[in-house]
Amino acid sequence: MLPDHLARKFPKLKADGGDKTSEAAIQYNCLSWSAKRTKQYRFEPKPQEAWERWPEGLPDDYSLESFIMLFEQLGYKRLADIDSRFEFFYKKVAIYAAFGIYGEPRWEFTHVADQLHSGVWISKLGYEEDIQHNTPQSLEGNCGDEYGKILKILKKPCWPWELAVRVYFKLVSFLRKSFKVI
Amino acid sequence: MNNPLQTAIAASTVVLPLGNPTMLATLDEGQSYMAFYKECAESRMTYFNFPLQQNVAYQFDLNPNMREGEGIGLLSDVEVDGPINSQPDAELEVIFNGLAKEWIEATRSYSLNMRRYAHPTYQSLMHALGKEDVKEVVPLILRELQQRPDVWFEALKVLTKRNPASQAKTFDETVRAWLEWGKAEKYIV
Repeated sequence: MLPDHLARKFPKLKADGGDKTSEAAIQYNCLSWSAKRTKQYRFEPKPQEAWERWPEGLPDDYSLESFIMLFEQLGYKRLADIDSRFEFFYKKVAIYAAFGIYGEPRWEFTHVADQLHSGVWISKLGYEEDIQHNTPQSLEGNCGDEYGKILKILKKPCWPWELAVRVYFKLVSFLRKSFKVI
Repeated sequence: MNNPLQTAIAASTVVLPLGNPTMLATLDEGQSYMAFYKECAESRMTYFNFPLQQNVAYQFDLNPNMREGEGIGLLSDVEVDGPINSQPDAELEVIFNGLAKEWIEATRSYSLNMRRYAHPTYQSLMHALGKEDVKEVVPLILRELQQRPDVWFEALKVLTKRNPASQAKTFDETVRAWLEWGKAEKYIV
């Protein structure tokens, strides 16, 4: 169930199947969640606290490119198009950006969401709750607290065990559609 | 006008009414920032602070991303000295609580702390309201941290020139370190 305050901030989420998956927390952010699935620290360029980290060797200038490179360092490759469709053999992340939010005429990183093995997307919304949503586009926009637009999609091949999980989800989906038993 | 700090603020601030960039309202010579902020709030103005030079004409464009009640402070830091006041002025407390609430609501969904710190309201708290009297604002921030833990650490570091949480490994430890420091320094009880 999507909390009311999130439905107000992100008006398209409810219609996109938005659903809360965990409580609000400050200790981690969308970057550490989508990149490392950790709740122990935040990824933040120029870390100020011990619970903020930024990989060595990456630019820490807050440029959009530096956030894309964070995921490239983890094996993701950039796609030429904004193709957020589910691909059985690949994991995807969507990088959101907004123009000029710091006063400079350029695109700035605002958020990242990643696609789960079931095909839905997961987002840690700042300091708010984690949510699932059917498409990454439901967080796009410039009203409420939306994150601008998806500027880049990256993907990387799944590990064999991840493919096994995907087979399971496909099977469950097939059974639901065919027999309405689950 | 008794306070030279207030004179400095008054000489360097201009106010733009929300939605009408052609009407400028200037902070009067001798008017305190608190009185200025109250006036802005009562007349539903958006306030913007810019360092200005005398005898220079300025034109400002309203930032379309600014929301009502947001402001930005561009004043330099002040040193903490003199006696500590753990019972802040009630008027200052009302203003602080309003700004804190506004900042939290506006930025909770931001992914980066830097973006939260860069928010005009946070900057106002650090650089403008904090200039009213650092020793009064710090207890307010620490109380807020006590009641609703959030990333007030940057403001505290700027205002106090201290970092008692440098060894903290988690967010909760950082909060605890600042609160213990605040108690030891008698900012809070």
